[in-house]
Amino acid sequence: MLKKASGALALFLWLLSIPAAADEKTKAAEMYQLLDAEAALAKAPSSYFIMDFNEKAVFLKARGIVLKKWELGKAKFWGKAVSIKAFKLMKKSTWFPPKRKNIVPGKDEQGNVDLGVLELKDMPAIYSLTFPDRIRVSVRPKSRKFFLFFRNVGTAFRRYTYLPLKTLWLSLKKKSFTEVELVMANERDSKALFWAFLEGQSCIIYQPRK
Amino acid sequence: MNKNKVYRTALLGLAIVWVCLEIAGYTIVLFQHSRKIPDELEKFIAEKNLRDLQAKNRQLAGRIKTFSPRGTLILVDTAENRLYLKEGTKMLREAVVSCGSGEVLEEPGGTRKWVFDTPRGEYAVQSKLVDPTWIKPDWAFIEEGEKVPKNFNDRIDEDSLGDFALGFGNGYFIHGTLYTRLLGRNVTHGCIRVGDADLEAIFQKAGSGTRIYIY
Repeated sequence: MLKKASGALALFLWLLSIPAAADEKTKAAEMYQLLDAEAALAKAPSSYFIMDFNEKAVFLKARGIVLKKWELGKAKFWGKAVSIKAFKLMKKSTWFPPKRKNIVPGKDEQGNVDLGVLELKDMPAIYSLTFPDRIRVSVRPKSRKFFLFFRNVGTAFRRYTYLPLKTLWLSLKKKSFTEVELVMANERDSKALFWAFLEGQSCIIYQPRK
Repeated sequence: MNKNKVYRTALLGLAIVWVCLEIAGYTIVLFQHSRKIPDELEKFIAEKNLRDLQAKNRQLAGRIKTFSPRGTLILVDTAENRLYLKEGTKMLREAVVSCGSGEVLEEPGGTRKWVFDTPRGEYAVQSKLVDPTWIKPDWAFIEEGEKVPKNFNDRIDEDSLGDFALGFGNGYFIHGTLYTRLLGRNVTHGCIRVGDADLEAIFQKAGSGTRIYIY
């Protein structure tokens, strides 16, 4: 009787451990994919980005070393899970793209305090990044209180009307898509990410299973 | 009265259609979320065992480390106008610098055009100069509204680059400046201007071949 009970207990414990082991394996497999993709990028001299939703940070790296790190405020996902591999940034879109100033020859500006040069403050804080496989990352900073209402209306429309309809439309066309909403900790970080991210640059989006 | 009823019915119909579309959209998303692991990952997991994966992960992490440069490093953040002198992961010095203005200069009546950005990417110190002389390129004269000189000696400027300069290719340098009050702003033609004390420290520490990462 005791033997049977201990046998049943052992079987029960073994069955309990199966999902944990499967989770561990999934984590290890996801990590493998991340490291494998990064190893391929770190071989080359070009810098690359890793959007790590496990660490809640965006890393700009080159040769495996971290050049810059941005903390993420919040992140929301919609649609198909992103494959853990390198994607090249196809396009940065914004309502008000920064404009370069043309120099007027003969006009000395080194003494001018208001230089009109292209600086971080001139970068947009709200923009979107388009990657292949219909992956779109919308970036914005945490809103200031005054704009909170308008932002909430916009976000609600997007989340509750635009995205479900887009999902339905693309499903009918047998296509999938991924939307990521990144909320940066502050406006400066949002602008700095726009500055640092160049079209054609590689990025790994790492969204491990919870 | 009849007209109002038609409007109400139309509105109700539209609302029903909208709710149905919303429900359909959400159902698809819920289905996609229930299959959060991409197909290729699911297949990959099925083929491997945990120990193999863990061993491979250690191997890959080690491999990435072998790509990382050793010794002194110079990192330049063009957005923040900061230069970081590092020894591996240890920060040795942080300097306020000036990077490219992003302005555009077009040659009046000509075809040439210059964009004054600091180039981004991985570079290495190629030359180290003490009391550097700037050989002014054509754009320096065009920008001033002057004629491009034919005599080479008219291009020599011994004052602008400060006490030291570190060349990193294509005519770009990390050098000193006369305009120290503009440090921290994007005002240069692509070079990286540094204050005197910081420049000397960087010059002493960085050797030929020291890696420079500009972002």
